[in-house]
Amino acid sequence: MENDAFDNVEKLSRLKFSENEKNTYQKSFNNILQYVEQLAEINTDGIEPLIQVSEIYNVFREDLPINSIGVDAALQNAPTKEGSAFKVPKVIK
Amino acid sequence: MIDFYKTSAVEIAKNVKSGEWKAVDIAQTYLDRINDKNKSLNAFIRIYDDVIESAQAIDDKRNNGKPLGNLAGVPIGIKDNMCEKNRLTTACSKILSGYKPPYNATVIDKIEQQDGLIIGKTNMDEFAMGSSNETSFYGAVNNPFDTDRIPGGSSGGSAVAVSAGLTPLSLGSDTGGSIRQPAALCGVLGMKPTYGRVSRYGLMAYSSSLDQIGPFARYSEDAALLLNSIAGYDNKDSSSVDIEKPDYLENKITSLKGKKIGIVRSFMDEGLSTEIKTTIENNVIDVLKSLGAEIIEVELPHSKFGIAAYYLVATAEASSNLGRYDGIHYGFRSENINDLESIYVNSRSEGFGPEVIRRILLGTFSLSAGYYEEYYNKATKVRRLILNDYISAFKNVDAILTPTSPTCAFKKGEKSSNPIEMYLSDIYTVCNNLSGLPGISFNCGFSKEGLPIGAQFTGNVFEENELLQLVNIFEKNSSHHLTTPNI
Repeated sequence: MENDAFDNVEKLSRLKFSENEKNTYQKSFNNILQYVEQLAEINTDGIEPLIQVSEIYNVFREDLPINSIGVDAALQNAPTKEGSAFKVPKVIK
Repeated sequence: MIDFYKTSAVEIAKNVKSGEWKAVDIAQTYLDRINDKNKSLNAFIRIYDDVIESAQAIDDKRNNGKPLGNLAGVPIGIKDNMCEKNRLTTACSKILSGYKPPYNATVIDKIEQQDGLIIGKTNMDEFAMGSSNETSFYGAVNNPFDTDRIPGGSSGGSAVAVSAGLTPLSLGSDTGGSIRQPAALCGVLGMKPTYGRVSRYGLMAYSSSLDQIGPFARYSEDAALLLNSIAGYDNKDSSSVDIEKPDYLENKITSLKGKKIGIVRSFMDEGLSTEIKTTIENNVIDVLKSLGAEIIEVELPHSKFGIAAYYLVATAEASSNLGRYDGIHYGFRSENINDLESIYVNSRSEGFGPEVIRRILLGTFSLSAGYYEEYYNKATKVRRLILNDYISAFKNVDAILTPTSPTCAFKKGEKSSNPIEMYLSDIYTVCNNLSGLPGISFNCGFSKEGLPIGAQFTGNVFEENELLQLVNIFEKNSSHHLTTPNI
């Protein structure tokens, strides 16, 4: 994979590497990619994808009010919070 | 009272239930053992400081005339990716430093309902990504049969905890072999139930269509005891299957007459250590035959593509599942931040370890525009072909016998720099996950160097009972599972 394409994957993954790290990750990425490309030799014409095996596609329940964990519990692990909200730096400049 | 290797969980539960033994004494005995042995193994990363109080509560319940549950007073170790309310649960990742879940995983609730005694969290590969337990933020785990060697992964801590007699039972999770492979390498029993059999609610997601929770034990009866408690429908897991579950402790068979066991010739030839091959032939196949089983060759022609399909499916799902680690809602946040984007990027880059990053990159790539068809979608079609092979095979056999791992426990660092070689450790186990089928690994002998060798039975969907019965009758006709590490 070329540098530009790898940079795009890095960006889409919300990750950022030093030059050294990038070299290492790009090398192992290419090795793994080369390995998985063996799948191309299998004829899969007319084969339906299998994305999960339980074949359960929709699970419905009655629309009844049930207890949830509550605001304090939901916020208990937040690095920064204010009142009943997660706090982040200003988004709109 | 307790022999750390001979006393079974079934025996502990029975005696605590009847009042013969006190849960407090059992707990103290195991805590002393852990205190003595865990430092050299690093199997447990946290032992709860209120274990004795919890044990006392179980004894009090009985003293107050209330009946105790099926796991009464049995110490149990929990892999660090299952949420326990207000107890640190970190998937052995820096990015979850300090995380205390506000709720219990369903398996935790079920163990507590049966009066099981959860004693702490076990070590694992970061986010269950690894086959050697070397990617943990809390350091590697040592194999009790040779502490210079890896215990397998990703549930290495749970495997070692049982192998070394630090607990009679533990829970692991298995996405591509993460229960069965470490069980094999540590000489204990490990089972991955059918997908949908055990609730995944509260299990930190790695690859949601493959992950399944299952037990580690020394004896098949103990695995059955724990599976009895954790299996079953859960409306909090939308992939949980609503069908009746048997009592896994019942119907012990005494003969294998009429049983058809499949073996896969190609699994026994290419890439398998000769020592493992002959051990399985001499110690397992011969015993099964002597008990009346018919051995039939079956073919799984697409299984050789299992690792390639797995690494596309699993990493695609992982890249999506791990998108939630954003440095905002919980867990680690980088100090090097100036805007929202830098919270995401720097928290993730500093918080995830190298193997997790490798998998996020591959998964993000295979789902990205322009590559989806060729990579992710292709892998899901191959996944269908792998399942179809099993469907054909199970028309002719009751279970399939294979090796669990192509090698015995390897030396630490031996495969760390070569991801593909590490991934191939799971070559005999990943196809069960891709096809959802249950698998059980059990000890069937030792190498010349004294390292455990595992064999695996794969069953048809929801045939966990068949697998437990097969291992149960094997245990009665062999003694390999009674060999313990010298620590």
